[in-house]
Amino acid sequence: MLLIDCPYCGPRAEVEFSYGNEAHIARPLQPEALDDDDWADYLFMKTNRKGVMLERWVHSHGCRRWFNVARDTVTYEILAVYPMGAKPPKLPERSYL
Amino acid sequence: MPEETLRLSALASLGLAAHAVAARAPEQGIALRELPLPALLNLRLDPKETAAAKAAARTLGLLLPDLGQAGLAKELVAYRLGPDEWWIKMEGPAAALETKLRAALGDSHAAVTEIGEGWAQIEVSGPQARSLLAKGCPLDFHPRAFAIGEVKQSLLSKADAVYRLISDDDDASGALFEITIRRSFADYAWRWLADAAGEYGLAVLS
Amino acid sequence: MAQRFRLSDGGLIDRKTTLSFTFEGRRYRGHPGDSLASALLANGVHFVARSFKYHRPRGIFAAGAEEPNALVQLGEDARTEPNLRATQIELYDGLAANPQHCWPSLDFDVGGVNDRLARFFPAGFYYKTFMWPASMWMKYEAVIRQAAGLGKAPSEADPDSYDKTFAHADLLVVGGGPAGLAAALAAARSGARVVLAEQDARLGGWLLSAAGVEIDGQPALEWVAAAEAELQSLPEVTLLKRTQCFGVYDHNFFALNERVSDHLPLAARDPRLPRQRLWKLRVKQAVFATGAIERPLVFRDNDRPGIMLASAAETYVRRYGVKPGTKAVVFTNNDGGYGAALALHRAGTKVAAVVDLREAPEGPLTAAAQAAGLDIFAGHAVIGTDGGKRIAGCRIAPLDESGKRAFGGGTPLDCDLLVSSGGWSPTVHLFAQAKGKLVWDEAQACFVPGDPGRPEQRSAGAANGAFDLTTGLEQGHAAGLAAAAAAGFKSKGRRKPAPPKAAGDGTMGFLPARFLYLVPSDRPLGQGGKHFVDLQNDVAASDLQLALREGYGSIEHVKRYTTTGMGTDQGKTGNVNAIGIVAEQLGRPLPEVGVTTFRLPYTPVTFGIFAGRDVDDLLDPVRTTPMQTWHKSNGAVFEDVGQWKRPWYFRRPGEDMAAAVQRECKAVRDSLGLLDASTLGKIDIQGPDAAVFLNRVYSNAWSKLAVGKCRYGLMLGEDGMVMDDGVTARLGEWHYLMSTTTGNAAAVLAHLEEWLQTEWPELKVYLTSVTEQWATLQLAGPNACKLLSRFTDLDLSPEAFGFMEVKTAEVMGVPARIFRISFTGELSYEINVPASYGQAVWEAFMREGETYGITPFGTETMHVLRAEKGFIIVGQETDGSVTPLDLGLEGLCSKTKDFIGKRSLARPDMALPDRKQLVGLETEDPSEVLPEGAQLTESVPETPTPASPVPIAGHVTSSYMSPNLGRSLALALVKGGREKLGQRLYAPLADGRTLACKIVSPVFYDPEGEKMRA
Repeated sequence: MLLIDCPYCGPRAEVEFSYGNEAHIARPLQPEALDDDDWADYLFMKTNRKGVMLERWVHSHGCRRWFNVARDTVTYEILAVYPMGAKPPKLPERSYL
Repeated sequence: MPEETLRLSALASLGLAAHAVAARAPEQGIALRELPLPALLNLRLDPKETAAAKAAARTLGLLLPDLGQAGLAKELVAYRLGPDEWWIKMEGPAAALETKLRAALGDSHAAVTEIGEGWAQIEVSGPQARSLLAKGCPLDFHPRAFAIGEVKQSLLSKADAVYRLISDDDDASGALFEITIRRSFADYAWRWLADAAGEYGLAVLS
Repeated sequence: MAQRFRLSDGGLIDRKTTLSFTFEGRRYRGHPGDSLASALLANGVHFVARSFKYHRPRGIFAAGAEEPNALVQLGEDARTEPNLRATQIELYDGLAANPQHCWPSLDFDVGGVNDRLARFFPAGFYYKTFMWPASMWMKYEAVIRQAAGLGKAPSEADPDSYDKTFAHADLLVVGGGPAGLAAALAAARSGARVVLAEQDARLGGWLLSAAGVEIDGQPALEWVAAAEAELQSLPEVTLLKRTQCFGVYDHNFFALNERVSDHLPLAARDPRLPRQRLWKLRVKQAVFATGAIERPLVFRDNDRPGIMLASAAETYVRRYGVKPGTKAVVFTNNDGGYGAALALHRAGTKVAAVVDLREAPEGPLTAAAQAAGLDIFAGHAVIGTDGGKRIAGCRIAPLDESGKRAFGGGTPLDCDLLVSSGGWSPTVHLFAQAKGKLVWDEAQACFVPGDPGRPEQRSAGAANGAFDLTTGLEQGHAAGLAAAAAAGFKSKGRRKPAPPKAAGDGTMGFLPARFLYLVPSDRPLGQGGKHFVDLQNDVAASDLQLALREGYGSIEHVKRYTTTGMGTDQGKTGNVNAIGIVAEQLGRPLPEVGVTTFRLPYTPVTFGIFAGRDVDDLLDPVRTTPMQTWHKSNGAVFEDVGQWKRPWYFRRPGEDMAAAVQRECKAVRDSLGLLDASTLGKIDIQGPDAAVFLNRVYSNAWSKLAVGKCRYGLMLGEDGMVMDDGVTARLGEWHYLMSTTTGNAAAVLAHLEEWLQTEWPELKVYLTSVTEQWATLQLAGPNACKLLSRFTDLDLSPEAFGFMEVKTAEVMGVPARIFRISFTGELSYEINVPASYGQAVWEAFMREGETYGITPFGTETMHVLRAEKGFIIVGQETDGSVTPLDLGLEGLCSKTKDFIGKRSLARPDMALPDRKQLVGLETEDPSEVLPEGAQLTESVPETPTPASPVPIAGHVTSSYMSPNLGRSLALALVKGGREKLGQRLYAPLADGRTLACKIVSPVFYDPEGEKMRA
């Protein structure tokens, strides 16, 4: 079970959180200007990276705030936690074959 | 005002009064008590909006507490639940304070909502209080990790719960926690606590 | 019966007390301190099991968690539990155990014929034989499982209780042997919170069966006792004995199984205590001091009862005071094996021979054995064994230099005990589960911890490949100090604390050794006997070689094909031998072959601890409304809606459900009904941007809703599918109250918060759940206004309080919000009062409403009434694949603003004419009610077996008998349904009948809505 450092409440057990998939996918400002392929890309396609993934979590059984997490999907190590709207911190490149 | 006798607590159906006692026996490790129906206001504002934060603090008569803390003032307690969320618990009805707060906040972006009817409070005390809560909650209740005056939101088994440590004595009386549970989960939470307390010996306090 | 093999003194057992127990119905005696295995051996019982595949007789092989053979069925009836290791069961008075894997009895086992047919059961036998035809697998599997006999599960409910708890500490030390104790002491003295977990009932590890060892100048066990006393005295130490750390999870999360009551006779167990407890432990640091497991030598027919690990024999003699045989052969490849020879010799067992693979045996224990005059056969091997249900003898022969060939047919030796030692394997299971990397230690021929992967995890002692006691203690001490320091606890005082110091024979490890993974015989491998590698899974060396011949090159594939190292055993005794044999066959260095994945749990865990107290009444929260007490005492039959209990209908004496619902439906339409609607979600929305926000999250428009008015809103997911619906009221300039469906309340709030916080943080809006703040009483029916007017001064005239309006007022003096909205199609008010007043107001309504025959009604009646109106229920008419267009609600999709889901509705697929659309259905026979979920066809499918696939026209989503219409009605999703009004469809039913029905408009009752607007 992961230990996630909520930016507001501190380190808490994974059971208190919900996963919100990939971070930094902004909703298009003018959805109607997109063709179907681009809209589908926004709606469904995720990078599903093997390595450091920037993802969103919400402290659903705590402060109910959303935030971003940089997590290595191989080791499950959490490299950084940062608030919504912030840019991701500089992280070491990790590549896995 | 309507008659207080018309009100029913969330745990009314358990008939707790029938086996309640005045004090925990020494061989009992846990005491549970249903607290009176809480009067609670939910206050939302961004503390960076200093005018609103100051207005709220002035009206409440305390500094808005930091994250994870409860602040005490005359006749009220403020719990900080999130970066822009507090609960104000008070004696008596919340409507008057709600009106005062709304007036003080004026046009600032803030929200004040009465929520006390939707919650129930249970007091857990005794030398085994920490062990009992650990069975249902992933929080660390050790005195090094959970100090008097702290407030934390988490789970009690499968119900959302807000924990506050009110007092903590080294002697036999142990720690005293206040747990706030959604009204509709209160019956479940009480039965869960009572069951889990079985191995320590349970007193129900009046 | 006398304990014929009990030594007269020595060991950690209490000879003054005698315990009685049964095995396979026979009564035996033992003493406190015994394991089931040691007590059986004290009574001369070696043969305790039949093997898994060949049903060969098997005996007690080990003395701890690594036992592969002696798996027993413990207890009876509801408490019976299979696959427990006799070596880990503490003996208690009245214990009853039975063998498994055998039928009808251990002695005469029908499955034993498998052994004689063994050449027909090679590796992969099941895959090869039972794969064709695939449809028969289920039948084969049932027979195979029966024959395999994996013990039996109880058929009754478990009468015991289980507990689970979270826990936190700075440091977890796994293993209470010398290294673990040194680690725990060093860390605990610094003030750190330490959990020490020991699987055994006693601390000490291998010291419990050691002789002549001293630590810090005291006899080893006195040092252990002092360490235990000190740890007990430290307030921040949690000492967990009888506790198996069975799994390592992410971020230093460990699962431990504490056997709280299992060691006591049933009658002596405290009913308040759980049988077992699951510890879900989060720590900052961990030290694995899990010791090591001895490896057997792999020689021909190495599985007979009476063959065991050398260290096990030593443990039975020294810890349990049991003589495991009268005439023993000790077969070893290392100095450490002589410890068993010496222990047996001193216990009075005749040591017929020490057979040593080494050409020039040497080492401290070897020297001691030589001094004791034991017969040592250097450069020799055991090349075969004899015997049936107990070993009767063996043959030994000299080996050539390569160790691959034995000379001659061997010299026979009589024995009833054969112990073997092939070296030691550190218990690295937890370390490997924690993603630590293993490295091959060539000198000691074992995998030892390398890079831990996670810096918070350390290994110490034998678990770390440090087999001599002095180094083990030093490592434990250092690991404890380092872990405490890393957790923020520096040791006190200026002088560096010193590690404990060891002295004595048998503290120097097991080297020197000559490693040989496969001991040759006088016949080719696989002929005339079997070299077992994995005793639990009945995998022999010949199976491994077959797998390699058949092309399985990777050790992971060999594992799956042969099942070696699988199951509950996880290769505790067999893995390194298996890898060694595979490496040799492949001609590759052993570390290149690598290890297989170590799976958790380390030892089997009963399901009960995962359930804990979350069973029966506490399985899941039961959410109840403020009026629950009234409902319960007034005949309510409840329906589960999410976790809520909602009255489904109120049964009167003599009524069935249909009658009750018909009565309730009539009452609402004719006069007055009362519904508990408290469970509907309520979200308080405040802020200057609230209307903008609503415009984005609802498909319809909100800008022009006036204060005091209500509007029905439709909420879509970004994929354009209907997600939720409900009425939202504008309470003030910047203040709205949204209602959601009962089941979606939490999901809708989470959805709104997600958009607000992650996409539109600039919007000034705050959301607060007030679902439970209010009790909601819905008065519905033509007399609703008349009754309500008795409770409030509010002007309820249609001019003053119109349809889709909200007012605040006092009801019985209680502050209330009243919504004039209708889901039933009747004149209706939803009265919200603070939750604690809900029941009092409800009771008052019921009392006063008698004049109008007020009838409490449940969710079923509500469903019938809304279906008469053609109102959808999200989750009933929708299933995540239904759009507003499909429901005929395109009028609720704004053309002028963007909203969540709008772009998806513009996809060409959404406008296809053959999408399933909402319609009404009327059966041709008005008394027939279509089953909900029934599939619809355009023509009657031929009987008896229609050609597959039958073209499906749609399905029934809601279906009821309507007393108001005097006939049944249904709602359905039908392909292109709206263009097909009047067309006939068929519903073929499971009972063989086919019901004909006609497509009609989904609004059956009061299509103009005059009643609810009255």
